[in-house]
Amino acid sequence: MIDTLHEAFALVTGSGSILALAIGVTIGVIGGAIPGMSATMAVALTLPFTFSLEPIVGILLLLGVYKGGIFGGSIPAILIKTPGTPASSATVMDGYPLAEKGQAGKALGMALYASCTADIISNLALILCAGWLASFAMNFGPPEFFTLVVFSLMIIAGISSNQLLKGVFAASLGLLFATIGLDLIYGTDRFIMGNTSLMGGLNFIVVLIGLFALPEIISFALNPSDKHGSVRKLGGDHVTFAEYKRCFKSICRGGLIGAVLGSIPGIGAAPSAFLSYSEARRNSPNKDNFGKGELEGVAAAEAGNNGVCGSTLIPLLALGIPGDVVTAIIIGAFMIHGIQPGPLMFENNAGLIYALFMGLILSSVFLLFIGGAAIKVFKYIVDVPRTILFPSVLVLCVYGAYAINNSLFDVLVMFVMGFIGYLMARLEIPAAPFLIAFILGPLLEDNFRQSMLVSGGDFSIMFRGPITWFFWFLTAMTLFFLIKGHMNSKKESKMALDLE
Amino acid sequence: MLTQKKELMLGLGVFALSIALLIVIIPETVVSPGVVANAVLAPSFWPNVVSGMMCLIGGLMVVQRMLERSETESSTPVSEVKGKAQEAQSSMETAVRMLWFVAMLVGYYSLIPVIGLPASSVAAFLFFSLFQCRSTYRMTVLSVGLILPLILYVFFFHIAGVDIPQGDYWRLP
Repeated sequence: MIDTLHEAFALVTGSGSILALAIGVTIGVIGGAIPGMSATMAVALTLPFTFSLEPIVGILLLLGVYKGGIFGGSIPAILIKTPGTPASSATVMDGYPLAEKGQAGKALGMALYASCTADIISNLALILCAGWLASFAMNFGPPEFFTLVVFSLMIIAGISSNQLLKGVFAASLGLLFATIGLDLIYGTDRFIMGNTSLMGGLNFIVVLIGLFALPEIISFALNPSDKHGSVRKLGGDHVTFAEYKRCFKSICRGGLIGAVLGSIPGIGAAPSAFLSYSEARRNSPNKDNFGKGELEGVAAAEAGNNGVCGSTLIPLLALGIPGDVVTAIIIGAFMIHGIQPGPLMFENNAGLIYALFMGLILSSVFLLFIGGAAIKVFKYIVDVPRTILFPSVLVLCVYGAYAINNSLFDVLVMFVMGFIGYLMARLEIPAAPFLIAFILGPLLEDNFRQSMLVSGGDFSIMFRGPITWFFWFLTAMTLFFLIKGHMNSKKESKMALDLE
Repeated sequence: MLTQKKELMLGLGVFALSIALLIVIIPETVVSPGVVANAVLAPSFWPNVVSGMMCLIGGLMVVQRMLERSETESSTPVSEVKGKAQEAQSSMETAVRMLWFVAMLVGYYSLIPVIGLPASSVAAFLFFSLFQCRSTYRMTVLSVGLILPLILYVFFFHIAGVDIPQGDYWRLP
């Protein structure tokens, strides 16, 4: 054991591993902060640069990009209401209102501290509870996944404030858009209408850019003004210890939610962020302030998405199963270097495993310093004249949308999604449930169909064991509380109207 | 907050969309094989389920608004009239701006295969910033408008290896 730890320490401290980790976090923060670049894209772009590096150096570089990217996504989410990654969608809800109030620095500071704290929790979960969490998630079959996604979507509908029906409608629309493309079982067309570019379905990054970036640009184009500098004028730039302490419970809860959901393959950071946000809102004494610029909301969302970073490696390292798109890219880096992640890796490459654990802990420290420096640089984006900022964002979006598949059609899809997003904003239909349902849609449908294939069309498979019953129970409870909350708020607003 | 009328129209719109999906769009655009072993595995099953859900949501929206309308009818007309007056004043200006913006996007998209992504991005940037937004930072706009697309080109083409379209007339190194 001591020898293994010694070997791991030597791996982390030698061959430029620490430098690679620092560079990785820096690339990730910058990549995540650029709209259209996303953490996934940043990791994918960095992958070719790791071919010639030592395995530990290359893998730490990628993990640094991943962690930095997830945090980096919160910077544009807060500053320009454009989440750099889907995981930062929940951060927009309170981060941007805070920026509008002139507290962008405070929101970014809280996002950083929450990210680092949750990151440490997630890393500890990875180190301490890897076996248990992974074995729990491995008990999931298609019906369990189906019920889990149904529960997640119900939560997402709940985060759309007091507009429950609009939230469910947005989620339904997202599910419908997710069905575009070739049917996976029969290989037949669905909503393609002869267009071969649609056969693979709509790319979610293109949809994300269109839905979250373009409506802002359209709104600006209809009301152009060079407001700048106002955001940083009001309020302090720093988070006080008292504020951090006030949000600590939500941060820890978010970190734990992220650690649990991250260990389940396929769930990812976005549902974790939304669940963490929703739970923080439900338990907070300031729940009415959520969505209007509540610091605790930013903390919960960021803790939720960063809490996934460490634990998403649990199924990857212990079982060789990638938990999400980023870990799917990272598994490629392992294979390039002739390492097969899985149970045998703990026996054959124990030194590498421990070195990765050490590197992950170190990455949280790097994130604190590099993220802090990035905030100081990036917050000046608010000072950029909007007549320059928004055309720049438009050009970035077009390059970003094109670069995903080298496809002009994706640029067109992004423009169309932008107008749909603008229309949704005008009609007060929340975009986040649409996007999350769009991402989870294929997972939901595939698991439903797999369940039906296994059972021969018998729906009782959806209630086959304690896990499915558990998620159905949670879904029913969530629905009950959402409807109850919705009716209570209606009663309150009616009473207020009567008093007037 | 949308007006009661707009909320009602939205509910009706959602309902109509779902009916159109169920009756026209899904049967016409979702191809099902001749023989499907199990109806729940058919390609159209899931879109039909989602559309059915939307139909229910649309119906609930309409019912909800109808109920609320009867409760708050007396308080809405004044604000609606004010809102309509304001909307009428600015709607023409907004429509013109929207048309210009759509024209810019169409032009941007159409120019990419002809003059390339960097050049069309420069053109779109300058048009959007100087013409549509009437930026007063002209020198900064010119500088950023020229440099940003080139930096992105260098990054995506030379670093990321993305085949950025360069058009028919010239090629960047």
